[in-house]
Formats: sequence, structure tokens, C-alpha cells
Amino acid sequence: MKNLFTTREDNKRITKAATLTNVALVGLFIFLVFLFTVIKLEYSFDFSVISRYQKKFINGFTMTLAICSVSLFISLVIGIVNAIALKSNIIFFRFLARFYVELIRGTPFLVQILFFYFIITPAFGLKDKFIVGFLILSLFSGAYVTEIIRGGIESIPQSQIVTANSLGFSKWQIYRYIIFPQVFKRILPSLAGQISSLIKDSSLLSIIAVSEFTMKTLEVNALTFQTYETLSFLALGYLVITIPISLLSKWLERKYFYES
Amino acid sequence: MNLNINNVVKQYEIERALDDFTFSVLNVPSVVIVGPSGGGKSTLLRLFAGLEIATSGEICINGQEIVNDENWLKEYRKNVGVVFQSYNLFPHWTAMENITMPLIKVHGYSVEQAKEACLQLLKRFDLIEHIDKIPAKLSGGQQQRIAIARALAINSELLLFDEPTSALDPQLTSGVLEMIVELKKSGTDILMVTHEMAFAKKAADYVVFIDQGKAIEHGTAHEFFNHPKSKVLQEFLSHSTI
Ligand SMILES: Nc1ncnc2c1ncn2[C@@H]1O[C@H](COP(=O)(O)OP(=O)(O)O)[C@@H](O)[C@H]1O
Ligand SMILES: [Mg+2]
Repeated sequence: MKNLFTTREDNKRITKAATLTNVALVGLFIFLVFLFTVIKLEYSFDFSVISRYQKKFINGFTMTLAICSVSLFISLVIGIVNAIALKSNIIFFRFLARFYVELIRGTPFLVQILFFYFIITPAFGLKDKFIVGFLILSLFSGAYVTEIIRGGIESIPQSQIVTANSLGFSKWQIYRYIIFPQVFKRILPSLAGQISSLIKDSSLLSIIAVSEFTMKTLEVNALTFQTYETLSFLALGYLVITIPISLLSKWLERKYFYES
Repeated sequence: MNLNINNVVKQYEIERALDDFTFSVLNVPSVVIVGPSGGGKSTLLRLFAGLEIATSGEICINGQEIVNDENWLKEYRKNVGVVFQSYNLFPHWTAMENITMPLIKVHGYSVEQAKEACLQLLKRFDLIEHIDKIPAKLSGGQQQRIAIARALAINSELLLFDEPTSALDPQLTSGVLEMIVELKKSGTDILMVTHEMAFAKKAADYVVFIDQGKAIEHGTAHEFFNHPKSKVLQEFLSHSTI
């Protein structure tokens, strides 16, 4: 009986029966919380809002995917350029890159969005919300990608650089043929994690009315007041993307672990 | 090979690795450098390889003075083969890629030319069965022999070795040393740092003893091992197994 609920310090394996029991328990726990809120709020469900407003949901979801794809690409470019700039012999580039990384990583994303929206956007005459959205997200994510790539570059042993120099490879060739191919493989798991964050963080763009998934869902909610259904559907929408990515990331991690 | 090293100083932040180092030889095919650890052997080799710049002094190899200029050194490095103690091969490339990539990207060979050169070398040294393996699938000795083949591929007249066997298990060293002997026989000039005294005695034409950043004593292998003059060298040799 005890085996159904606990594992032992020297044997952490979980039996099939214990798995089923505990999954059921977790389900029950969540259901009770759910029940409590429904009773307290005297909530009545109408799941038809999802299908009735499916167009809005689909538009929002597509927009989120579009913004995130573009941002992913741009933040990769920012990350590569910045990681190289951090190692540059030109001090200005080095300082600029470091300043950018520290500024972005040291301030809340929400503050960055507001700053960009109220200052940069009008100053540069940017009108298109889609462009504003992916620019903000790219700048934000780029700083984190920079750090991931920098870590990857620094994990390449110095001896390889010396050898490459002795063979006559140029600095650019060393990055292109020796460092990046190895770095790319090593950072894939962290990069996958970063994609996940990017997708989740994009929901904050709703604050400046970029018509992405969260924004569209809030619109449906404002029209129908079916908060429970719309917000659950919203969460589910994100999970559908982030769970596979998380699994992929774990798989890549294991794969890399065994290869090295 | 001719070497002419005059009053070379290499000062690192704290350490002075080479201290008014002076040494010259004329017309010897192979020079072996020996000495206690920390004496400055690797530093000297890196200067020969054009990987670092001397703080002062001058270095001439075969009449060619090493110029204190990064662009000049870049060109110079292309034509000097170097084999270090370990980790010479790039882990993401197969044996073949490790040999062909420098030929293609640095020396302007076509892919076919590079493959052809690689095949010839690997056949010559009986390494052909490893052609498609990545370094992780090769023994330390096989890795070193492929690294030597790579250094040879660029047709340099001079090969530099920095303790090419000291990271290997004892049973793997002989294969690498035999390969170096064969190179010497086929007319390649060799400058090598080693701990293998038996090898130095047998294969070197000329031996230099370096300690505390100076060339303490040098001479033909015969003089050097049979009639060491300085106390430090006598002491050093008595502790080495020959
Ligand atoms: N890159 C470096 N930076 C600072 N000090 C160094 C560096 N390389 C070597 N040294 C110092 O210079 C001295 C000579 O080192 P090295 O040439 O490696 O000797 P050896 O190869 O004979 O063992 C040592 O005291 C070492 O600590
Ligand atoms: Mg050394």
C-alpha cells in the first residue's frame, strides 16, 4: 500500500499502479479547485463561444505564430552578431553589445514594451502593430540568445582556436567552420527553451494591442463574459506549442549528452 | 634546417618564459628540444610557429626572419605544420575533413585535389581505414598520426612537434614516433620538443637543453648524451630513462 504513494531514497522508480493512482489524485485535486471556483462564482458554462468566435481565435493564434517566427529569426541574427561583438577587438562594439544585453536582461519585459511603444515607436514613426510587435520581441529575445551563444562559444576549448590559427584559418573562418557548427549543436536544447519563452512572453504584447492570441482572446471575453472558457482555451493554445518544444528540448539534451 | 635565434625574450604578464635566449644551428635535418617542465620549450615552439610574438630579439628559420606583424604571421603560419601534445583534431570533423578542410579553405585546393592528397597520405601511413571516423572514435595514437598527416599535407619543409606523445598511453607512443622517424628519412625537417630521451638519442641530429628560459647546452646527439658538460644537464639526464 505504501508503495502506491512513496518511493524509497535508494529506488526512485514508480510502478504503473502508483502512476495511475497519483495521476488520478492530481486530477481530483485540480477538479476540486475548479469546482470550488465554479460554485463560488456561480459560473455557468457555454463552450460554444469557442466555435462561435473561432475566427478571432485562429487569427490571434496565427498572429502569435507569425510574430514569434519572425522574432525567432531576428533574435538569432542579433544573438550571433552580438556574441561576436562581445569578443570583438573593437571596444565600442564590445561595450555596446554588453550594455544591450545587461539592459534587456536587467529590466522587466513589460517596461521595455512600454518604453518602446511610447518613445521609440512614435519617434521613428512606426505604425504597423505587427512590426512593432516583432521588433520588441526580437530585441528582448536577442539578449537572451546572445548569452546562450556566448556560453556556447566559450565552451569550445582554447586549444582548438590555437590549432586553427596554426593551420592558417582566418578569424572569420574559425567562427564559420569550427566554432559555430559545434556551438549550434550544443546550444540547441537551450535554444528550444528560449523559443518556448518567446512564445509565452509574446502574450504581453497584448498590453499595447498587438492583435495576437491573448489580445484576441480578451476581445472575445469582453464580448461574451465567458471568462472560464476563453482563458482556458488561451492557456491550452500556448500549451499545444510549448509542450512539444519542451519534449524536443529534453530529447536534444539527452541526445547531446550521449554523443559527447 | 638553419635556425638563428638572437637574444630572444618572451615576457608574459608575470613569467619570463624566454630570457635572452640565443641559439643557432646550420644545416641539420632534425633538432630536438629537451628540458624540465616550465623551462620555456613550448613558448619557443609557439614563436617558431608564428603563434606568438617575441617581446624582443630576432628569430630566423632557414634564412627567413619572423616578422613582428600580424598579417605577415598569418601568411607564415599557413606554411608551417604544427602538432601539439593533444586535441589536435577538430572533434566535429572526420579524419578526412580534418585533413582536407585546411587544404580547401586555407590553401585553395579544389575538393577533389584535397581528397586526393588526403587519400595518398592516409594510404602512405596506413591510416586509410580511419578516413571516415571522427576523433572520438580514434585512439590517442591514431589521432596524433592523423594530425601529423594533416601537418604534412601542406607540404611544409618544416614540421614542429610539441611533445606529441606525452599525452599518450605508453603502448601508443611507438606508432607515433615511428611515423616521425619515417618523415625524417623522407627528408622533412623536424623540430621537436619531447620527453622521450631514447627517441631523442636515436633520431635527433642535434639536441638543445632548455632550462629557465635559456639554451643551457646544445650539441650533436652523440656529444649531448655521451658528454654533457653542464651540471644541470648531467643532473637532468641522470633522472631521465634512456
Ligand atoms: N600563455 C602564457 N601566459 C602566461 N604565462 C605562460 C604562458 N605560457 C607559458 N607561460 C609561462 O612561461 C613559462 C614557460 O612555459 P612553457 O613554455 O610552457 O614551458 P615548457 O613547455 O618547457 O614546460 C612557465 O613558467 C609558464 O608558466
Ligand atoms: Mg610544454
